[in-house]
Amino acid sequence: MSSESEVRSRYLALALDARKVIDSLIVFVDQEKREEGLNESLRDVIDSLQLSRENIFSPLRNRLAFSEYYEQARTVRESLNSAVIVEKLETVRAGQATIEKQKQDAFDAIQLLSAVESRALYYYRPQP
Amino acid sequence: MPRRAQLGVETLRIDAAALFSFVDSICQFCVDRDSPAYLEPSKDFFKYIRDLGDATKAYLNVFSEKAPRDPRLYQGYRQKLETIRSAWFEFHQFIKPAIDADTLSMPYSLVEALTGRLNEVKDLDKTRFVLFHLDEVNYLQIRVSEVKRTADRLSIIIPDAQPFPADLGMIGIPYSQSSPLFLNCLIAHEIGHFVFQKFDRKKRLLPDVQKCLNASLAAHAGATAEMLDWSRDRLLSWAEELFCDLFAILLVGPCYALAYVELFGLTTVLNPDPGVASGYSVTAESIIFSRSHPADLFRLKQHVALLQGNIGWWPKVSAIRSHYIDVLEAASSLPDDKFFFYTDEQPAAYCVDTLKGFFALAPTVQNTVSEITQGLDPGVRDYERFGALIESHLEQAVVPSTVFDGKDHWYPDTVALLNASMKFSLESLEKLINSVQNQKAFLAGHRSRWLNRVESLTSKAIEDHYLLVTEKGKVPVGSSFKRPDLSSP
Repeated sequence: MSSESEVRSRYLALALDARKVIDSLIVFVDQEKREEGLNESLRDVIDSLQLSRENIFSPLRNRLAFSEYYEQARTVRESLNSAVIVEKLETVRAGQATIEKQKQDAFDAIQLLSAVESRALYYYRPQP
Repeated sequence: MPRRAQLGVETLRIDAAALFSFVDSICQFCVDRDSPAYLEPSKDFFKYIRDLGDATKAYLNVFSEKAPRDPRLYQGYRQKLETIRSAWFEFHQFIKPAIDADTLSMPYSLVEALTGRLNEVKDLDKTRFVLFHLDEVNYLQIRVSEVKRTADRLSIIIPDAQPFPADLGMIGIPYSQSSPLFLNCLIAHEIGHFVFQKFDRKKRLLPDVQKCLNASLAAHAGATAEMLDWSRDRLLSWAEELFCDLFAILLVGPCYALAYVELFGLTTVLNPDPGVASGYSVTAESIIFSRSHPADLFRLKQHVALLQGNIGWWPKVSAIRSHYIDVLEAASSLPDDKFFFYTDEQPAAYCVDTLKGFFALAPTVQNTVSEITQGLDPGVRDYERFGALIESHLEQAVVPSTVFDGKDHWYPDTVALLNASMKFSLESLEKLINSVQNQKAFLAGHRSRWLNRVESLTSKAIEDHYLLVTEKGKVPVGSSFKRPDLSSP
């Protein structure tokens, strides 16, 4: 049987999934190094964030905690503009722009994803 | 603003050390112990937490050294410590409940018996369960399974950390409920959550959820993606709960439905008023769906639908002389439009139509359960064969581990024992009470005492079963076993 704490842990899952991508992007910005699996990881985030009526029921949306549950999707919407982050992540994933542009967009994406992580942690944390 | 300390490696070191201490303090409780005793799954759980703690601490040791050189990245990097800390908050809340759940405080023989049944299901042959003591009066799998979700994700962001063992399930049991055997049949529902998640049924149900919602929400063309998202979650959540109920019935038999009636006090819907022709008056609370769970009476209605299907239990259930069965029949007679769901999250008409989508989905959930449990003997034949014999043992306060049918000695299986024992408790407990001096069946205290005795006798038989069936020369017949040495020539 589910409970309030189950819902809270969905926020934690969201924070952890955001962190996974932030870690890879930090390495990219700091060392210009593409860690193994970076592109696949970015693809998953992009798929999860592209919420439309058409893909509500797509299993792709459940791959990450950005949109697996309603609470997670709502937290993401509260914290960032999905279209903006998708554009930034696409720049990094495609690797076609200049390295400076890619790094700048990766840095912007880190800021946005950190905001999601922070908000999710806020909702997760038990209040004393 | 002037800073008191230069942010960088040194401050990260201090912050990482604080988290190190927190993780270390949790892991200290997961040491190996000689006493009290734990079953292997609990020991595996403690070892897993220790290992995860070691990996976390090793990472924290080098956290500051691995910091990015670009100071603009400092804050984003530092925040990782908070995410790791929150993950350990999550583990923290389950360590003490796991430590408290030693073999003396838990219905471990029932859990082992149910695990044995579960291991007969294809691809679940290696599944085991860690037990937890809970403060609240609820049986929880899904909540503790969040530990797995958190551990798996943490293992991705901590080098050398391992994901949670795939075959290790987790079940929380109210701390006061180690003895009541019948209520503990609800554990079977929690096992269902493990199965639902293990087989990724949520993802598999998505096309059916879509089809059902497309039809039921056809009048809401203006529904936003967010609203559809919300409806999808409601159907998946209700479907998982329904799946678990039906799975539980296939695992332990109809005693699950009867335990459900008892725990949630559903006999309260019965009404002896001669003016009430149906014999029941539903309470509003028994027909309301919550955000995460179907209404109680809807769940019972689905239990009855399964029991009435080809698993063959219903004739046996409907023959039990108990008002619990009247509740099942009352639930079964309720049309779907009697149930409702209301929340201030969405417009009322939208909620109603979302609920209609679930009514259309329910038969698919029934099929899903049947598909997964294909090949699992529902146990009705052994109940039919041994039920009366088990009851006659209980009537004399004798452990029904071995029953004699006039020709052979038999070791009845868990499903037969649980269901015959529950039938005896509902129908015939007075026979046992009246045979004992100074015991009065009309006193709740005396009745409760003998009910506990029946549950103890049955628990002992369940425990014995797993020893007896290892006997050399025993003969398996269906799910039960025939004892070889005392068979007639």
